[in-house]
Amino acid sequence: MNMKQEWQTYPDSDLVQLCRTGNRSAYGVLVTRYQRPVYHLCWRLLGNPEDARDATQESLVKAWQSLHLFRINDPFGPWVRQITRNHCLDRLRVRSRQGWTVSLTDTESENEEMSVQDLTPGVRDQLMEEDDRKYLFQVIQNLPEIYRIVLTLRYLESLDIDTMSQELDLPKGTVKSHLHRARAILRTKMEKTHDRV
Amino acid sequence: MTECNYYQNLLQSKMDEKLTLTDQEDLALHLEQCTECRQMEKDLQSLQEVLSDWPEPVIPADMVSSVMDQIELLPAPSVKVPKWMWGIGFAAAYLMGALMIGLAGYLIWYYRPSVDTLRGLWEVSVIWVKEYAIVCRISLHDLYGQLAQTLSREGLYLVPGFYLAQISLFLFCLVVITWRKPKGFYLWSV
Repeated sequence: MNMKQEWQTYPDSDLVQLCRTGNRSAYGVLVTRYQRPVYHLCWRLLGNPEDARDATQESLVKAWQSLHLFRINDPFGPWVRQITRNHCLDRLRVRSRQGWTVSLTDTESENEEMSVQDLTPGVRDQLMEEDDRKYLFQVIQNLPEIYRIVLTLRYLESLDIDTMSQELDLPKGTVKSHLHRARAILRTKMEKTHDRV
Repeated sequence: MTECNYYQNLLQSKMDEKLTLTDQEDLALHLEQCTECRQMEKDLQSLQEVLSDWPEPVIPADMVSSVMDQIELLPAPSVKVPKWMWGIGFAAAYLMGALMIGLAGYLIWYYRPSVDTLRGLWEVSVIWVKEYAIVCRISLHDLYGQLAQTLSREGLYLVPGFYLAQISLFLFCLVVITWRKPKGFYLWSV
């Protein structure tokens, strides 16, 4: 068993210690270990695979640069997810430029009544054949940005309302209202799908 | 309908945070009577179940290599000591230094010799220095005399000349080699 294979069995904290001595191969093991959840989170938050790919790379590079700040007794997974989340939210802020609320107002009216018909024909046909679950997540990806973000933070990241409010820099009431509306839209979509079937 | 809106909002809130006991009781009572709200509760629960298990996307195959390519160009993440810790360290060092100097000063002052003792010490020192100078001068004189006598007796006047010629040749070579700077000179000189 060579060194790299042996590292696969090492706990995260040992690998981080190796990284701090300048060992890049040890970080390669960490990247392999956490690329999946990081990419998943980026994809859910940013809504498309191209941005997700860039954001994943940038987040993992940021994590490398911040390894000296990592407290060795803490778990590595949540720490790297926190970096990823902040990075994605920063990207989204830049994208929306004037903040979440404006972004929502711009897209709300046209997306509120979005239906399966609004999706691209390929996706629509594909969705008709797939089960409800896949359809639901496709709908989530096509929701207005802020709805997709709150759903991702609430269900993929399991954040509570207080934490979401802090991370999104929005009042708690607004976060709750976005969550309610997002769920209401999803519920409507599910009903429509069942009606169509 | 307005009443249902209120309870449906409560149903939504129930999914994100704990309701008060009064709200819980009110909601339970309403759900017993209202079919529409019961249906909504069921829908929200099934939605919650679906949302708890997100399908994972396919990761690009070159993700790890792309990240590692960027990492290769970056410096290693060394553990940095925060500035405030440096500040505390320096302050402690300065404080210790001041304490040591103070202590030394106190001890010197406490055990200081009397003026008479100092004067006596000075006079003794002057005598020592004078005597030492006289002794050295005599010794050197003797040594020179002995050396001259030995050389003249043994006929070894050429020996110092030979050493002088050897040193001159060495210096000449050094100057020539340094001037021309041949390849590997510095390595050779080391």
